[in-house]
Amino acid sequence: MSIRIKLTIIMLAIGLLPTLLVSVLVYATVSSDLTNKTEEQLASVANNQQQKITGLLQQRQEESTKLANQFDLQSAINTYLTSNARNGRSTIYDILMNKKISVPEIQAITMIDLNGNVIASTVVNTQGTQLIPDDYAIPTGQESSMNVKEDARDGIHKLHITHKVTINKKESGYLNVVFRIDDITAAIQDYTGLGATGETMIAALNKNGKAVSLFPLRFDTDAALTTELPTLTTSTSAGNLFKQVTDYRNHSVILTSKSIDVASWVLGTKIDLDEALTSINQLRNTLIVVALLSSLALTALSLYFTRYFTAPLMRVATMAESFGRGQFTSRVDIQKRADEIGALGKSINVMGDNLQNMVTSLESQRNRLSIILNSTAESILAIDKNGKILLANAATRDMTQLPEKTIVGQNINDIFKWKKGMQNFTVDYSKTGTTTYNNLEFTDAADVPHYLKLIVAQIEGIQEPGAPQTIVTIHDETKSRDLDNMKVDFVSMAAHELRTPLAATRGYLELISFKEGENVAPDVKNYLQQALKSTAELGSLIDNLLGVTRIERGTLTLRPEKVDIAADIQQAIRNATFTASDKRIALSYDGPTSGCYVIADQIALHEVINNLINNAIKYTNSGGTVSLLLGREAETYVIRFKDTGIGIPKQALANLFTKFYRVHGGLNSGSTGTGLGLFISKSIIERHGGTITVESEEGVGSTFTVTIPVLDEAKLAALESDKQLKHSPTTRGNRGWTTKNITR
Amino acid sequence: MAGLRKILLVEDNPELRKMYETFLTLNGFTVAAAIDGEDGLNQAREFTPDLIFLDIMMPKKDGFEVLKILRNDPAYNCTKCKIVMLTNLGDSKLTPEMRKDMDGYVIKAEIVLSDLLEVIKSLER
Repeated sequence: MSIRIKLTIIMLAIGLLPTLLVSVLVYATVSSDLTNKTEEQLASVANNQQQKITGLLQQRQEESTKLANQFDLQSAINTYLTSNARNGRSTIYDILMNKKISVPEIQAITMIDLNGNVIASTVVNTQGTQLIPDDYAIPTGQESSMNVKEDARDGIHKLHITHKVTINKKESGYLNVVFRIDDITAAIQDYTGLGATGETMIAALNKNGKAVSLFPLRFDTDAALTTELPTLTTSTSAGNLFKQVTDYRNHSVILTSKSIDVASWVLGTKIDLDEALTSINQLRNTLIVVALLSSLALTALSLYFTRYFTAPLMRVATMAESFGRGQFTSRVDIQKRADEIGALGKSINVMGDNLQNMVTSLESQRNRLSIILNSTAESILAIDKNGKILLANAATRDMTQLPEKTIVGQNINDIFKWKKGMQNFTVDYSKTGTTTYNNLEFTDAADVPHYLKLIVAQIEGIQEPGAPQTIVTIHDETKSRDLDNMKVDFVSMAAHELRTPLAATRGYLELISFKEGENVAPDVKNYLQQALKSTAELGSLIDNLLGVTRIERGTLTLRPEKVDIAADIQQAIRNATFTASDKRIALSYDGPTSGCYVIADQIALHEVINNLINNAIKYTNSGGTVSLLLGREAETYVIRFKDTGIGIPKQALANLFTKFYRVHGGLNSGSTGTGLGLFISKSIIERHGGTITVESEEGVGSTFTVTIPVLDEAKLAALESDKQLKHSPTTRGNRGWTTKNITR
Repeated sequence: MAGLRKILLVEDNPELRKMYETFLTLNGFTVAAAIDGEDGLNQAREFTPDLIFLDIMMPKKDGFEVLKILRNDPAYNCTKCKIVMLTNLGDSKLTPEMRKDMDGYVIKAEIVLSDLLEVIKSLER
């Protein structure tokens, strides 16, 4: 259930329940109170009516009683009754008339004999008229009776009181007095001002003991006047009797009855409940309306407030949702509110701005990175921790001739069927840090071979899933390798082509010397020497070039054999003595003169030693010294070539052993060279398992240090047997030529 | 074996051919010269040399082809004669298979002329 519904329910409960409760309580209290009051009111009305009507009836009773007991009337009647001639009727009539006149309510007075014949009447002055017996019927045991009848002459209901007239203790006749009852009617009607409430009726019990309405008040329908009133049947006793019934109008009424003893009547009074309770109904209706209105108002209020509080939260939630989807552009417009929700809006908008900025900055960074990645010539791949390719730049796609979607998700070893030499090669991700693999071969989808250098760099730490764990950079060296090969081929070819004319030049110079011999003039002989020396230099230059091409192609073959390095150094020093002394450089040696054996290609090793001695002499000015030191350190021989020469600048040391590199750029040094010597020397020494290093200080001198492993007999034995197999029968001879008969 | 007097020189480069021929003649040898592989084969049959200096890189037939034919075909009278290859290649280029039929080799760019006399002398031993 959403917070909105919850809040609405809570607010409705808090607001509506008390209202309803109060309404119901008010209604119950007022309703009960009013019902009681109604009954009290009814009882009071009934009492008043009883008293008033009883009083009025008693007054008339007394009036008529007084008349019946009046002496002159009694004596006139006695006279009348005792005279045979029935004289004295006029006297009676006069008395009756007098009385009637003196009491205005009296309508008529009639004197009746025991047989029911009228003796005298104020109404009709006719004697002997037989009246309806009921008119003066007096119940047994009673002195008088009361009755209400409608006067046929004027249609008005009137009260008839009939007394027994007793003369000399002898019942002599009846006196019937008819009274007007306007005052009684008026009295009753005084209580009918409330409409149906207070309606009163007076009933007499008929012969069957049923109450029958005596005269019409607004108690019931006219039809009911002559009918029995069953509702009052049992209501004859004294005291209030309340009964709730439905009246002729189908109204709910409360009915009470009182006995009027003076006339043996029953007084009935009713209150119309519908009318009596009009106010309470009004109250109830008001309460219902109030309750309805207040619930409506409360519902509207709670909806409004719920919305007031939850709607901004919903907007915040919607915004957060769109953040979750990676859309950071939406904002909420609630930041202007001064409350906590406004503060929340402000914060989340600021958060949105920051996220948006971050995303924008990340995107532009990514774009920059993407441009860099795709514009570089190197293939760059990002690999996840499972070895799957996450990203491949444009160079990768160009090289593999595959679209990115084919590459991404693959294992790098599946895309690149690498070969290293003849072996299949797979990238190993288990190595930490950065690993470089050289000389890999790969054939692309278009069947074009590539030669690659691979750099596998591991990103430190465990990355989250989907993030790169490894960056693989592939450098396609095919072109530079092709170029290198072309260069090597060219150099090799050129060197070879140079050798033949060089051999011819030298040969013809030799031929001159040989043929002319001592006949050659001394200066010409000198020219010949210079020419021969130059051709020799040219020869060694070409040899160096060829040496480099062999190193480059990996075809430099060495003939390892047992070599006495000490003796070799002695030979080299002897060779260099002339040049050194010519330049007035002191050439010294410190170390054993023989017996230091290594496994080496003697010619190659000799070349290295010559090269280093010649370099030392070449770069040392006249008057300097060049010292050679040979010593053994553990399992290596160490040869130091130490000079007091011009030295090597610090910045040049790193490139010193690079091919074609010359320290002084060949300018102003006065020295010649191809810059190949140290490159070749280093390659040769490294092929022998040794090292070559240099320390130097400009203006002070340089020391080149060569190490070479001490002869290993087991290795030598293996070499010898190998050589027997491979090189027999021809053995190594002098430089430049070999025959089968030479065994040295 | 003494007396390698008759020498056939098979060399396509005219300057070198003339130079070697002159040098060897000056040193008292009887020298015949051929300008390519086929010429070399013909001259070997006619001249019946004691020693052949045989260039490798030549038109028509290269030195190794000529060597093979001379060693295997008695018609050329040279199954037993001395044959020394003249080469520009380093000795590392010569496989044991190539070395089998030759008596020696000379790297033209690396020798001085008098070395040829040493070569001959070593083969006479």
